[in-house]
Amino acid sequence: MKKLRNAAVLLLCMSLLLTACGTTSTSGDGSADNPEITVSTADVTGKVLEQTEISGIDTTLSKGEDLYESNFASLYTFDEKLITDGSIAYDSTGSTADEITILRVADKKDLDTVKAALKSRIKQRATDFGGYKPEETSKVNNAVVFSCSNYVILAICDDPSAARSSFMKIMQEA
Amino acid sequence: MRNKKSMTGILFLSIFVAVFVLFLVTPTRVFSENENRVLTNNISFSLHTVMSGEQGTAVEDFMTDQMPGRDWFQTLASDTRRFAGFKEINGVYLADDGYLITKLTEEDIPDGQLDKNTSSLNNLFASSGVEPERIAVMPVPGADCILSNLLPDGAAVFDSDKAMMTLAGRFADYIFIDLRETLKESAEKTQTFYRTDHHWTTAGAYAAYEEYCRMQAEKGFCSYTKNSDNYSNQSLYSDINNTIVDYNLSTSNVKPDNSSLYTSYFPKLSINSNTDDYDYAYDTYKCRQITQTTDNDSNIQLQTVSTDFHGSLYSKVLCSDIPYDSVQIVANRGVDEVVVDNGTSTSNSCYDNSFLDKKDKYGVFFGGNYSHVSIATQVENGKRLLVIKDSFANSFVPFLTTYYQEIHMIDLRYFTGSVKDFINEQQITDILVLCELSNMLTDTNFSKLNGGLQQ
Repeated sequence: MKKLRNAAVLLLCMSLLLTACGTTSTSGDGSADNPEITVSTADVTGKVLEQTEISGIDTTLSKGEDLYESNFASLYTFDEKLITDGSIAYDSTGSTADEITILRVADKKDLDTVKAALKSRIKQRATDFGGYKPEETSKVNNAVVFSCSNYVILAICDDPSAARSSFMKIMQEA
Repeated sequence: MRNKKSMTGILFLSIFVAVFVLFLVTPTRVFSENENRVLTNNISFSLHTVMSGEQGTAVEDFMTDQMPGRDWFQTLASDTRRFAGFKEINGVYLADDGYLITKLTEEDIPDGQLDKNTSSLNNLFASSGVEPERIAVMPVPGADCILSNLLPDGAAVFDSDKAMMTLAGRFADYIFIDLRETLKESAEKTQTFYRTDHHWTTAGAYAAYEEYCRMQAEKGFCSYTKNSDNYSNQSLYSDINNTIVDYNLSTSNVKPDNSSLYTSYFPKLSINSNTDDYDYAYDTYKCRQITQTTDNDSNIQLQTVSTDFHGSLYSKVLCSDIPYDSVQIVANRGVDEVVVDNGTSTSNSCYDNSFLDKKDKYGVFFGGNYSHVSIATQVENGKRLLVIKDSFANSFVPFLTTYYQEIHMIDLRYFTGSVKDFINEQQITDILVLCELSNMLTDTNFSKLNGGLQQ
């Protein structure tokens, strides 16, 4: 039955023409032509976590909090000045790869730089968990990095599609 | 002629129909034991994946992973490549003697990462409050370095000798343990690396343990009276067997040569129970015979617990006739006399035997990797060791459970706290960095030592 359902999903995919976040950019992520949105990444992260079941995440750090800067420097290699707001939600026990990071980029021309950094983060996590924790490796392999307006999002969780949908809905309502 | 064409068409159509039917009737596989990974078992659907074209990739992944007879076809592909003379499959060298060895070249080493990692470690050491002579760095050279004579002709590898020498220079203020010669000597006598896995064997870890002890002794491993001349009529704590021993200064003012010190001070793999060994209290200035004991309790006994281990490198190669490895544990270390807490469960053993029934049998050591594992021993000497580690430490640390009161293992890949704060909170007295050499050159997680993911 599951495979029949998958086949049905496949047919549905082929038959639908749908839109994502506004018009599609050259990178296909719906980022370039959207009007700039200003909403707190902490609020967005909180809502995404509320609407998406991510069991592993127990800690969220946001820009302005004491520990955010040092954590940011530990995780990412780009200049923090590129970011005007940001939140990192993760599993403080380290036992799962679950992570939601939402960053607001000061200048849209830096979107690709930030997205590349988040993709490097996925690559590192794939190395961290590869061969040792297959379930977490699967999550990392399915992780997504995407952008909408001047926001860049990294979602490592069981259902990154749900996290993406939740984020898009929040942004549309903003 | 027309009939022939029709027959060919019918034959192909039959094959497609048969494969499709098999695809429908065979159960969906969630996990591949051979590859040690979760298979794509569902086609996810989202607006974005449809629009971006990723849906096609998802369908392809699903079809590839759920292909009927997938394991058989994978083995067939690998065997074909091997018989065709390929010496490398999926980044793994098919070396002599049945060894599979990870391919890591200079191109795989990120520029400047070594500098960043050594800087992070040195900053931590300097601010830790731990005495420099109680800080050790022990990079583990991989099989590509130790078993380089078994590599295929012309196999490209990174320059591990150069990397090791660079690290030695960066950590010159601390105990730097270069294991290259130790492990090469061990490899001449016994199997030091698994044939199908990237880790060292327990015998390899044991060789490293001996070298660790030797280097620690040079720095005064048990020198509770270090720099003191007032030895007479005192009891001196010995790390050997955790016993209090008396010594007589007037009759024991003999400094043994290094070989007798190391032979007698640390337990050997094979010991003659009829031979009395000498224990020594030792510091960097004086070395005195203090008592004479038979060290049967410290005799290391390796016990084979599995003979059907196919490790991580096998999962990449998947050839048909690769022999199994055996897994050994130390039968008389790290069992019963310890309390091991990995944050999710506690046990009285460094070994999790449930992993002997799983694919990843190396997980028998501490049940795999956790962000933090604490080991409380029965030793009461106030020594608390922090091991900053990767998975190579898992088979090494059980050897140390009779030397430290507490051992804390931190895996930077998963640890999210501040290591500096941890050192202060746990009153750490000794630090050991034990990681595979290649990880010290490539792993970006050492940057966490500069701040750490903190709560």
